[in-house]
Amino acid sequence: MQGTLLTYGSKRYLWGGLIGAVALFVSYFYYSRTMTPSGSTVWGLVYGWIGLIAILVLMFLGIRKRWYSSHLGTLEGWTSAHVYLGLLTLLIIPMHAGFRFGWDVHTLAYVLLVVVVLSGIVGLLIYHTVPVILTTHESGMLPDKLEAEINQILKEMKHVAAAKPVVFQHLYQEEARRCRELKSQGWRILFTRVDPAAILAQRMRDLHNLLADIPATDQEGFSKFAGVVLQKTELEAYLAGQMRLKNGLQSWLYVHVPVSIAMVAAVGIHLLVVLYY
Amino acid sequence: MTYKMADPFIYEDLDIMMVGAGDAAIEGVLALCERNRVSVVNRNSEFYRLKDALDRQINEKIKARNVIAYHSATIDRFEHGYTLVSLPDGVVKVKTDLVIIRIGAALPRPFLEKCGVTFASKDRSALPVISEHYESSVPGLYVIGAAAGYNLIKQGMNHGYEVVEHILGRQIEPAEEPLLREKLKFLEGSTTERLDYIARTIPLLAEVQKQPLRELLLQATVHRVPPGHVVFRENDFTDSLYMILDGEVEIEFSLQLPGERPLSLKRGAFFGEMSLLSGRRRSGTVTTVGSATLLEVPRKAMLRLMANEPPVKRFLDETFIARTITHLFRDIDEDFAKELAHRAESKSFKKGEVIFKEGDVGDAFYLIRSGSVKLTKRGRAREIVLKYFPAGQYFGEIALLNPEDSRRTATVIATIRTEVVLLKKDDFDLMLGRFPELKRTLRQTMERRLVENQALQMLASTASGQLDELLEEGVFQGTDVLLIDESKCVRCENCVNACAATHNGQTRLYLNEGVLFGNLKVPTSCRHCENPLCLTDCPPGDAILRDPRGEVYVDEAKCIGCGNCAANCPYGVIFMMHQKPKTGALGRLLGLIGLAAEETNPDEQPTKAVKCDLCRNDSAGPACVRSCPTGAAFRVSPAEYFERIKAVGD
Repeated sequence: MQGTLLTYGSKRYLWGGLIGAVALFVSYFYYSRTMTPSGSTVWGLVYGWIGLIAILVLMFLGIRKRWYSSHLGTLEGWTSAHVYLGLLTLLIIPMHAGFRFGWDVHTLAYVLLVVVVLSGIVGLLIYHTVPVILTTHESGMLPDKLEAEINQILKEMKHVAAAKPVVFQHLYQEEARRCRELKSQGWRILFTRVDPAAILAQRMRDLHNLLADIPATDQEGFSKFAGVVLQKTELEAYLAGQMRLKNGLQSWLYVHVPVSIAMVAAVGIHLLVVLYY
Repeated sequence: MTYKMADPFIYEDLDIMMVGAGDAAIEGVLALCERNRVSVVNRNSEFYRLKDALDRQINEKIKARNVIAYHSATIDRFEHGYTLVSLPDGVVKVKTDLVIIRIGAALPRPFLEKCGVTFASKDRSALPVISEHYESSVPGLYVIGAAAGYNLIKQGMNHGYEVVEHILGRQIEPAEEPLLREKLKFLEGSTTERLDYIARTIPLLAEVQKQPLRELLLQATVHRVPPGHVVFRENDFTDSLYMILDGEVEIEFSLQLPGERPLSLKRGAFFGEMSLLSGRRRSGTVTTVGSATLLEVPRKAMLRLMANEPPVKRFLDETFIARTITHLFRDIDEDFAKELAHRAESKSFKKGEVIFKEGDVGDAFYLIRSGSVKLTKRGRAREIVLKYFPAGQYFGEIALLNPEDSRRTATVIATIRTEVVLLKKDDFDLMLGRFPELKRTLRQTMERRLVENQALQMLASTASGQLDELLEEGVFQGTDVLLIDESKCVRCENCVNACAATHNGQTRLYLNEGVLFGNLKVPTSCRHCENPLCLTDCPPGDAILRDPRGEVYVDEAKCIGCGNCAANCPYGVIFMMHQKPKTGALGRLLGLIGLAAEETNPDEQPTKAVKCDLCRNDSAGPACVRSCPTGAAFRVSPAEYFERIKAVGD
């Protein structure tokens, strides 16, 4: 299905990218026959300008994305163009530099660009695979409803625990704490695999151990209470799974965007250096 | 104990007893039950008199145990902190902190009738019959204001003044007389004479009482148009009724047979009733032949007239039925169609009600007057939805045409509140007997339908499962629905942000409350239904309305925040929002760096209805679709969704 973003407008940007790449190769072939390629030749300068304009257009996506009232095409079109133009820059810049690299700010700019493009490709892969998984997870329940359910259960637990021995209240507080922790998981959640079955099994064992401390009269009440706790644990596991996937969908942007800004800064320095020295 | 409840939100955590079960009482209950424990005392055995939306909501609340209803109940007495409610099987003591009494004020019809006042009809909403001077059928007894059906205070005051002047023998012009004179200035004579002329010229209005006729004309628009003027085009979204005072019009349909002459209507006839009654788009294009004088009456005014003047309703209905018959079956002549219309039966079905079941013996032919139905067949494991028929279509002919097997080939269920007109088998056979051509046409359609149904049934498994669920969600009722392909949606919520950004910060799109079918989500966003239920109960009349292009939108300037449209929408896509003051560009800029302008407390602003308006003021179309980076969000019209579903299901 990702095909549609990459094939937007009857694959117009794909074709544009391919034709652009071919044009670049052909021109570079001609160029390298005529003179020694480097950034300081006329050709090099032309490639440089193309690269600069390309980078500016690529960065503009960030603005167009938030310019909701814009009539400049659709965001999907812009994103599609962004992908192919981004890939093209991988070609344009080395051609501009005549494939000469060294340990300097100029190469740094390119290295950062490569990181940006690679993170973009990772992003595309994530966008291709995660939504379907997330939808399967969500077919159980949407996140807002899950949270509401969990809160409702907590309220009921509080109500029930109030009239029971201390063990119940401790259990309630434990659950409330888990709930808070889940909400503030943030980044850690990305890297911890969520295995609902294992989590449930563990919780069941914990509850079973607690059973020993319950006086006989409250055992049945505790079983019911434990049932509710397990329900909540299951819902939380679902929620954690969904949160993880959702965070995953955004995670790559935390590399893609900052590094692209760093790259632009590096390009700026590169331009300064080149124009004044 | 109180009769008034200005603001339900000042009550919290109380045990409240609501006495009364009309609209006002139940609205109060619904407002209070979120934060309080509410009980309702209803002296009837169920909630009879509620609006559909309220009925639905209160039953939901009762089922969820948010509200306790005592039916067939009366108040025995109040004790300190308790109400004693008298039920058929005993007295129940209910803890009560606050009693609210909203038993309402209905027109005291029995009393008035005992006084000798005659009412227009047996209908519950019928009004007393009054002369143009507001005199009832009892000489010397005048009925004015709300009792005569005019709910505004100013009207009551005007009427009172007129009646007194009349009794004193002074000729007084009713307040609206100058308006009427101005409107009818192309006619001659006194206003009464002009009104008589109109009633004489247009048979539809012949039996209308004087006062309602004046009311109607006040709301009507007179059009004096040249020849060749297009009154409306096929598929327009207008829904008013037109009457021909002078001249002639021709009606053309795009699905015309070659050599067929357009339908011609002359002086005295009316047109536009199809859209008026079914709420669907115009079924044909109407053009004037010579110059003409037309009277255009808006839908609400016409519906009101029909409710109060049964002869008008009957006349319109029969013409509607006759014309639908001649429209669908070109071979039948008008007179016969009228005869059939006279014999036809009207029936109403609630949402989800079965009209007939697969396997039943077929005994009638059905025309859909308003609403829509779905056709289902028994599949291997469950009922499979095959088709959907909107108003103006017919069904039920297959069983009647097949001499060998007169059993229904499918089950037909109403998808929303539907009114059908049925012709009994005998009348149907009579019709076919008289017009053999028709039999052939029907057979052809029947064969086509049978083949189609077979094909659809085979396509059934996944696609149709979604079809049924989408039907429930009103995707078919909509003319333009937002769907989200979840396999492409990266949950960036740009669509929601775009909606908010283009609508003064108030989004009309909510993703988290949508419904999910397979990987297609139907988010909470207006479907712009063909037959919008939200338009049915707007007090100003046109604060929520339909644009000629089909978009249903809210006119903020006229919205009084009553919430009827939100309650009537079966899909929950209309929201009552406190108005935020509009911020200009500078305000937004300042807002970005935290220097927002002094904001008045938004909760103190009145609420207004807010819903998706398809970004009608934006030439580029809906912002949500334009702002989706992966193309997951798309809008479809019913014509396209079949294709989409098939593609997605693959």
